[in-house]
Amino acid sequence: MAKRADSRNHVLMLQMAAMAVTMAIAEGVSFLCSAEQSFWIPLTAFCVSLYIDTPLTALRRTVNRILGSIYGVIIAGLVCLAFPEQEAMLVFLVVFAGLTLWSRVFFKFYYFFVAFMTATVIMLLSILMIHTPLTPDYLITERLIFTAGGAFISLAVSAVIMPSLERLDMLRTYRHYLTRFYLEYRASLNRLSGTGPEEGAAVIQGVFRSARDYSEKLPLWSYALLFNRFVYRSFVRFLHRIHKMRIMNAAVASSIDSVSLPEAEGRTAELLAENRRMTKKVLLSLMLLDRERAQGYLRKLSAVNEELSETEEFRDNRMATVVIAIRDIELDLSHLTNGTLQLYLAWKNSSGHELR
Amino acid sequence: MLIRYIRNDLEGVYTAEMLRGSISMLAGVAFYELSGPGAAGAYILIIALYGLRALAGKTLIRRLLSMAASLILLSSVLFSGIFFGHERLIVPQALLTCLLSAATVYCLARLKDFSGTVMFMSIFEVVAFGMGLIDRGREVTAEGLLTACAAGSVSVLLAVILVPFTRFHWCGMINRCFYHDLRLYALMMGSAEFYESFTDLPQKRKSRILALQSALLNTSEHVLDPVRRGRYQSILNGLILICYWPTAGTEPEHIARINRIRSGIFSCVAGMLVKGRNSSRAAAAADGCRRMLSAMPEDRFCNGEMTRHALRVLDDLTSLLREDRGYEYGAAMPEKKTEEYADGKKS
Repeated sequence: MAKRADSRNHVLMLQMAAMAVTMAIAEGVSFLCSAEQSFWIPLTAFCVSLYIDTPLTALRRTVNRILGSIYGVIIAGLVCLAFPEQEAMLVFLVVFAGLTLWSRVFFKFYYFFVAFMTATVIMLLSILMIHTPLTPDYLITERLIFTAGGAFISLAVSAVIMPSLERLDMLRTYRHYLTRFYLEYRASLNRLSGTGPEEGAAVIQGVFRSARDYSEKLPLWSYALLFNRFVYRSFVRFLHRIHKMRIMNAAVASSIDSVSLPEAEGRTAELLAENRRMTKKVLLSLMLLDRERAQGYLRKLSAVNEELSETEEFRDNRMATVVIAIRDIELDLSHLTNGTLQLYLAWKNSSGHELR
Repeated sequence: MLIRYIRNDLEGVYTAEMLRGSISMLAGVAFYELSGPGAAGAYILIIALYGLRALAGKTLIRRLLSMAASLILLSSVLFSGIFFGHERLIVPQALLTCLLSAATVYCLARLKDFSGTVMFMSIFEVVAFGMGLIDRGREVTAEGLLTACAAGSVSVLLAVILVPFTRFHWCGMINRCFYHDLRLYALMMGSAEFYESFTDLPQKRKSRILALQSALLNTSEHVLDPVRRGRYQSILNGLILICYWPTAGTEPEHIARINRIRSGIFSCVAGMLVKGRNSSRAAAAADGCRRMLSAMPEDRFCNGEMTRHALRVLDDLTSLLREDRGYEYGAAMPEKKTEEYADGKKS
């Protein structure tokens, strides 16, 4: 716990240092620049550096910021050229200010917010400096080039100062979801076999709440993989599969409740306990990126499940849904073992890119 | 668009912010027009535009006080930025900016309530320095700036008084949003091809279904009435389990049966919501589905569990629609569009 707090403090210190260095450089460059609105350089550098953990988050914000600036310049440029009167600009200033705050609703589309913010600021500046001819050239040089410059400074500084943690994050997420699945699975099987703790069973609302966490992180991973769409899609597939496996746990729990299953006894109870042990071993092997060992345990798990399908409880329909769900999970585990993501993470680990 | 908007702002935080922002800017523009010519006049607009971001505190009085304190800090930063710009003092400016921006990062991580004020102090410092640099004739005077800051602050405080709430409840709109998304989900699943496992579906469709399920659960959490919320969640639990129902290692007849139940229940839910302009028609659609489920042949794998989930969904939905009699659940989306949505072409 203390180690994690230390690491968080360390990252915060690095973030503060990166921000301070970025702003010092950006202010210096802006001061030396002879152009009128060079303050866009430190302003952009500040906005890009705000929430970054790693150089790749900086890259993501940079791309969004530049895209948003381009859209904002186009929108405001068209308005300024079509309605050059000050009264019209004041009206659009109010409209864009409202839209800027409104656009924060779509938090996944940061560029949306940047576009309206840019349009608002351009309106404001066009009122502040009504004597300046607001031509498209002016808008492009003053806003876009300085925006790109500020973002570049932030990017360069974060690349030097911030540690590149993305891949570690990816492996950590992989392990985190496998562990989460196992804890829920164990709780369900323990209810059936009457051994061990039962807390932590899968609840659909809980499964979706954590699904929301990863869906927010997904855009970041597309940058982390430097736009390697193939691996990124594999990662999305993995997350979908683990999500489905957790819903299967919920199906097992619901089946136990809805048919009021009694605790399994004798050979069935032993098989369920063996299934839990083998599943744990498969998952641990996957977390350690040892595919061959995982395949070995999978074969044993398959034999256990085969025997479960022959039990009286399955044949007389009492445990049918539970056993089918368990077999479904076994199939998913086999897909995970042979999936691209496992291969990719194992390859990265073996080729000198330390992931742990 | 409206449904999507509500879905993203279920607590009404951003809508309240938008209202305050528009009022503040409107008041700022009015003060700017009234202030007459003067280089400092435009700072009214800057304060009115950015000053609102530092709203913190649980009661209106506390919010007003914290806002007043933050406006004083923001105005003082404007003064210092313009002064450094006029005097071309880059070293103190760079030092102050570094300090404020590093403090922003710290506050965002540890002192959330102060982060808005400190963040905008940094932005004001940068912008004011830039404006001070280009104000070569030193047209912005201390008196002019003080008047502008006061007028800008009044605009901001006025907006906070006129829109005193920081969040609000969408009331009946939440239910409308839920029914709309539930119908989209049901249409998408009702028209889905037969599948053995949920993972067999195309990636895009899976992502869309997942997003809809997630949005529905999120919407249901924001329903105030506990009975209604319970029913919504019971419907969703049932439908989600039906959507993912396990079939591994079973016979083709069983898989076909599972798919028939699945497509039957989802089509029925979609039908109840599309046709549901009155509860009797919805109840008739539900009865039709119940008859279909009971007429299905016995299956050695299916312990009747999936059918029980399906029936529970129908019961809950019928009760809800009966209670909502008079409410046009079908009005959120015209019937013509349902086929397009079923193809997953529109979001």
